[in-house]
Amino acid sequence: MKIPRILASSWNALRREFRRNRPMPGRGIRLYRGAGGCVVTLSPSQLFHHPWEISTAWRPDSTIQPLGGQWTATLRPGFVDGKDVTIDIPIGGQVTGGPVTTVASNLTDETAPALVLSSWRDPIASAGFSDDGRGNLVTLPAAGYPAYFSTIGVQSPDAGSAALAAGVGAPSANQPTRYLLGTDIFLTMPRLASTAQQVTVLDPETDSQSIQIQTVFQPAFVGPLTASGTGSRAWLSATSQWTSPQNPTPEEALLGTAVQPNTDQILIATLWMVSPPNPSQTAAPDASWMAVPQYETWWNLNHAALNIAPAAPPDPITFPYAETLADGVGQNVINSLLSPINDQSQEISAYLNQANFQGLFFSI
Amino acid sequence: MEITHRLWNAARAAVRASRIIEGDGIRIARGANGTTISSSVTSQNWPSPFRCSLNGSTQVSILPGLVNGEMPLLPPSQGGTPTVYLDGTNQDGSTAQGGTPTLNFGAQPDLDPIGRGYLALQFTCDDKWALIPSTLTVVQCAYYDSLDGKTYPDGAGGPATLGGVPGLPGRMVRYPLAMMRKSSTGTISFFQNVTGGLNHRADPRGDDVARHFFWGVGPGASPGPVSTPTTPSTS
Repeated sequence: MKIPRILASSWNALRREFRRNRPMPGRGIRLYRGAGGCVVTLSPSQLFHHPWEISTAWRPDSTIQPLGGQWTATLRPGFVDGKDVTIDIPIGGQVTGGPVTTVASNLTDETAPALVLSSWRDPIASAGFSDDGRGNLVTLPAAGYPAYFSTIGVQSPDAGSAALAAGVGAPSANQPTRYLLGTDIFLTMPRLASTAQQVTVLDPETDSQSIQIQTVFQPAFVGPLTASGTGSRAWLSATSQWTSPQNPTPEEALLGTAVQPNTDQILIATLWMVSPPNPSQTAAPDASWMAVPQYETWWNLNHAALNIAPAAPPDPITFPYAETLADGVGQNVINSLLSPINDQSQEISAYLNQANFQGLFFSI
Repeated sequence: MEITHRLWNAARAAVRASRIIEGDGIRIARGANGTTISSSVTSQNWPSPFRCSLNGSTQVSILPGLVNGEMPLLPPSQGGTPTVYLDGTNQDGSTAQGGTPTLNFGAQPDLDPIGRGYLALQFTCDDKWALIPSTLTVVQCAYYDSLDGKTYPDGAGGPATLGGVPGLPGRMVRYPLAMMRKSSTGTISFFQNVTGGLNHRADPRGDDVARHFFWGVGPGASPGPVSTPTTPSTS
């Protein structure tokens, strides 16, 4: 049998060719290397600039251990109703020696304010534990992440013990080793007012009704103050997992327990942090991690609110000619008989006439 | 594993197939240690309707855009009453002298105490709260929601509102196209608010004042170049 001979020169030439073909990022290019290939993309600075565009930076800080710093995000200025949006920043403290106070800094300020990113959600780890109904404790599947991240070597999300028992999602030997954490950046706009329904318990024999549902105005939410001392129109914040303010359900409105939220909010973007392969820890991203924004809002916004003021509760139906019946006892009896009707009237009125200052964001 | 001729040739083919070839907007530079990929695409300065660009240090040019299908007017290059549309035509359809008009805000534009101001659309509504085209202009102001545009709007512009744009007496309204921001070194920057054509509708709150709502209608509202339909040749 003839044994093929590979000359050292051929082998070395192939190695050189292979090395020359290794992609390296130049100006305006980002590379994501994975076991399945190398993704080449334009870096954000080369793409179309839009409001709310996120730039991330690692801010070294030796007082933060064990990470040695923290990630921050600045956003390209965006507007709501033509007013520039703010970010709360602490001033004083170590710099001035005085107490730390918070001011709202405009995104258009010469020194762009930065959001400190300090709370993260883990889309890979199990979402928790539950009972399977047969007394067994099972782990729930993870929240998961956009499919893009699996192409750049992020670990598969935890499938949960039920799926594992069914043979789905079992970890393989070639499991990618990058980790992923996420945080949400959202915009808050205070409502003109918020309201809460209040139930007053009455005596059916004397008042002809057992409940009265009124609407109580609550003070408007006061946002952070700007350097000029005026309240901020709208501001940006970061949280590990944003959820929309919950408006009251129809049942709550009917029962007279509805409480309107005092702000409107909209999700601007989710910022995902991708670790290098085999990260030393996965609780929070350090300087070696990479930021990838996923935008939900691209354009400047306008905001308009409903202006539905609450109506006064209806007067109860009474029967005023029964005072002399049965030495006055008749009045109490008739009031008690009218009470269920008046109570229903109160509930229907509270449902139909509830106050609402909910706002709507729309792009321009 | 034994390396056969077939395996060796497959490896050579795989290395050759992984050569990086430049496409549109991409430059590559091969070196001994790898191939550097660079982009020759510059940042996109998307020419959206109403895009404001500094022209010199005291003038701004504004790309054409429409509000309810109407084109705003600017003063002619020598100043005076606004008579020139943003696309550089006069009201009679002729081309304006001096080409595309610019808005001259002067060396001392109206700015608030922290150096912010606006380029804003300004117009008046008729008795049915419809936009009057001949009043549609672009102005420079420190506050778009105060009557004179120079002083802080007392009683308006608070932190919490019902939204929309507060109207001004006389059925007038301003809507910001872009924010101007003066830096500590005195340079002016623009931050674009409007990036498309606009629609407008008023929500009257009395005889004289309304809440005004504007919403984008996208690039479709851009006037763009007008093409003359051509008749297919029959020869």
